[in-house]
Formats: sequence, C-alpha cells, structure tokens
Amino acid sequence: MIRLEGVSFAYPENEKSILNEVCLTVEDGEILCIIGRSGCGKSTLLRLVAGLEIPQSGRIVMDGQAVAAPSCERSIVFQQYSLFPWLSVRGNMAFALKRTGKFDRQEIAERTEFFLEKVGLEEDMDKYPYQLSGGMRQRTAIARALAVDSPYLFLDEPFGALDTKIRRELQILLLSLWKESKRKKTILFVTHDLEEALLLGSRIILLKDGTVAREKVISGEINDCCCRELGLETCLALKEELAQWYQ
Amino acid sequence: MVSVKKNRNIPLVTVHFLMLLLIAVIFLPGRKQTEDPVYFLCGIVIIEGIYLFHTNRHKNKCGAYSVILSILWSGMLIWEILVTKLNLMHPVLMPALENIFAVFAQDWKIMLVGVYSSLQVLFLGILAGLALGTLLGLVCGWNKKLREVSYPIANVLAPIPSIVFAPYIIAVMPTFRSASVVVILLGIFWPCFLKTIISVEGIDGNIIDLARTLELSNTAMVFKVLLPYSLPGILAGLRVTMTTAVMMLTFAEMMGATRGMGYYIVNFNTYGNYTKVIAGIIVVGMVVTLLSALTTRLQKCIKWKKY
Repeated sequence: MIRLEGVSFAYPENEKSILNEVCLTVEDGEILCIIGRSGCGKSTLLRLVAGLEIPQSGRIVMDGQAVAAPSCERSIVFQQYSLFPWLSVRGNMAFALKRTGKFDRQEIAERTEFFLEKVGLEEDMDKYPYQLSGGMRQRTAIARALAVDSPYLFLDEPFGALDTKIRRELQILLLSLWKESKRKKTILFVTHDLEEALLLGSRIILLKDGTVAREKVISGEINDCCCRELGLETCLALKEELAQWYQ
Repeated sequence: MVSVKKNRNIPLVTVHFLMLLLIAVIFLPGRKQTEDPVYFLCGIVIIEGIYLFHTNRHKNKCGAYSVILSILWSGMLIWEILVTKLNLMHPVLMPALENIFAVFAQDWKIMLVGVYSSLQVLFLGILAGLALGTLLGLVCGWNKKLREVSYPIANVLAPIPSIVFAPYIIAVMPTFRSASVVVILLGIFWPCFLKTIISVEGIDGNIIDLARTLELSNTAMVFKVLLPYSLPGILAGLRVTMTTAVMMLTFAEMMGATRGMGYYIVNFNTYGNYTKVIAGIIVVGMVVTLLSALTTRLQKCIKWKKY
C-alpha cells in the first residue's frame, strides 16, 4: 500500500509549490491512473513516490516504511531513455536483475529469456537500443520492470511518443502481463490520454492546482482480451465525464 | 550504372596518368646530381599499392582517395621538375626527392629505433593522461561541488600548451624521457578532463534516475554508468588530442633526448641536413596517420553507437 500524507513539493528554481498537501492512498494491486494538464505535477508525484525526490513537507509511506530514496522495489519506466544505451536488450535486463540481488546467474538468464519472449523480443536480445524502434524499446523497459519482480511499478507516459497502433498493443501487453503475474503489482500510470486511463485504470485521479481535485473508481473486470468490460455507453459517458474534469 | 562507373573511372585515370607522368619525368635528364632513383620508384610503388588496396576495400571513398593521391603526385611532379630537372630551388632547403627516399633506405634502422622510442613515450603519456583525465573528469563531473571548483581552473589551464611548462618539468623529473612523458600526459589530460566533465553534465536525467532506482552506489554510478556513457566522446576527442600529443612529443624530444623522431629531426636540422629533416617529417606524418587510423578503429569497437 502507498500512502501520501500531506505531501508538498516545490522545485528549488520555482517559488510556487507544484504539489500542496496531497493526501492519497493506493491499495495493493491497484492500477491508479493520474491525469491532468501539463505542468500540474503528475510526473513530480511519480518521482516523489519512486523516491527520486524528497517532499518538503509530509511523508510518503510504502508498506509501513517511509520512502527516503529510490529502491529496486520500485521500478520506473519513462517516456524516453528507459534503457541504458551501451547495453544490449539482454544486457539491460541482466543488469537490472543482477542489481536486485534476488536471482542467481541461471535465474537471470531464464527470466531474461522468459520476459523478452512475453514481449515478443526473443529475436532481438543482442540488439542495442539504437537499433530498436520506440515501441521495441518500451517493450524492453516493460519486460525489465516486470522481470525484477518489484511490487510497485511506475510509468510516466511510457507510450506517449508512440503511434496509436503500437500504443494499443503495449497497453494490452501491460495489462496481460499484470493479469498473469502471481502477485498483482501496484501500478501508478501517468497519462494524458483519457482512453488510455479508462482502459488501464481501476481508479483515475485528476491533479489540479497541486492537489487531487477529482477521483473516479472504474468498475469492470479485465477480460481475457485485456479489455475492461465497461460497455460502450458506460465508456462514452466516462470519457465525457473525464473530459469535463479538464474544464 | 554507366554514369557511376564513368565517374569512378575519371579519378582513377587521372591518378594513374599523373603517376606515369612522374615516373617518366624521373627518367628525364636533369641539372641536379641525385641518388639512384630506385628508392624513389619503390616509394611510388608502395604508395600506389596502398591506394589500390584502400580503393578496392572502400569503393565509396574512391573519389576522395583519388583526389588526395592526385594532389600528392602533382606536388611531387612539380617538386621533381623544379628541384631536380631545372635546379631552380634552394639546393639545401629543397633536396631532391630521390635523395629523400634514399634516406629511408640508408637510415631505416635508426628511424625504426626512433619511432619505437617515440611510440613508447607517446603511449605512456597518452595512457596516463587518458586514465587520469577520464577518472578525475568522471568524479568531478558527478560531484557538483567539485565540478564548480575544478571546471573554471581547467578552463584556464587547458589552453596553455604543456610544452611551456617543460623547463619546470625537466627540473622536477629524474630523466628527459620521463619529462617527455609528463609533457604528453599534460597535453592529453586537460582536454580529456574537460570533455569528460561536459559529457557527464550532459547525460540525460532519466538515465541517472534509472540508475538511482537500481540503488547504484557512487562508485558503481561512476564506473558502470558515467564511464560507458562518456567513452564515445572521450575516444572522439582522442583523435584530435593525438595530433597535439605527437606535436608535444616532437618538441619534448628536442630538449635533451638521445633518440626518437623528434631528436632525429632536430639533430639533422642542427647539421643543416634538410634531406634527413624532410625524411623525418614524412615519418612523423606516417606515424600520426597510423595512430589516427588506430583511434578510428577503436571508436568503431563501440558497438552501441551508430558510426
């Protein structure tokens, strides 16, 4: 469980706070989608929860312990530069798996092959990031994030730079891998795309004026096709409602 | 297809025409007495062989190689006519090409020993300068406070040629040879240090964040993230600093060395033997070209960058 208790944050170069006393609870196994206008603090919130920034006031608690620094228990996928460019696909996977200290050499090799096969990159293991398309890079990043088996996964607009078709494929891939995993990961997903938020999120929050302005629980199980069973009318109504939030 | 072939044939024809013209001019009677032209002809054959080897290997660069060789043959042709055939140039400062190439045959052992000695000093200086510059550059680049102190200092000291400090280095170091190594070290260290700091500063924040989420220690961050990231830039900078290093070496060997290519050049310069001076300069040029090619090869060993 993740709990934000009155978290406030401002970057040193800005006087104005990005986040003002944010209080938020994320249950285990939940997929929380964070939406909001550009500059509202979505990425900052993610960075705080990941331990990459320290709040100026308040605290973030994860499984009963305060978050003070980044950790292998919290995997993160960015929109750009999610891979180390000097390591091959296999190398990026192995590097992260080795750092966790949980797996021996054989397990690292097995998990690398398993997860790369899951994301359809078994033929590209020895390629370097510059040889991969944007979609392939993000697949590798997702495979790596899932392979390290951390309970928390944070994604900061990971599909934002990709075309619609590839984005849809990766959304389904993420959901299918999340559904298949033995222990359901807690996912925080930052996005601009309302449809994406509806597809992925079991809960959606809107950040506005440095605080959680709106919240919506999305009912509907994820079916075998990795689609949330909402029904067309419900889906359209929800999309309309989310669009209203921005006004 | 026909026009591409035609385009490739014209430079080839030009090069070989100039070469044949040069050979013909060599056999013409001249006003200046020279050494046997056999060594000069051997030199022409070797150059032609290297040209054919490279144009065959890199067909897309045939045009560029042909232009370079055309310029070389043209220059040699003009030199041969003005110096040997018409005897119009200064007899000491502009020796005949036949005499220059004869030096390679006469002094090849001395030159080989000189090149070997120079390369030893050069490699020692380059490796030490590169290692220190890279290591300190990574540490100072990573630590903000160290960077704010060291960067302005480096900016002042880096443009000063290391040879300027030679009198102090000679006074401090036990031998002239070790002083030469230090001169080269300083010539390599500063550009490498600055380049590494700039490279570390410019690394994308997401890569650093990614490394932080993997709980890398500062040491691991420096050697497992910053070093591999900065390596292409360091090697690219080495091609430029290599030329400076050879220049520093040549100057350093002029100060009390007993062997080496710099010593060879300055020694015969003192005696006014410009035939050997020019031969020495050509050898230095060949060494620099080979070293530059070696550095390019090293750069291509980095598989993760598109070259």
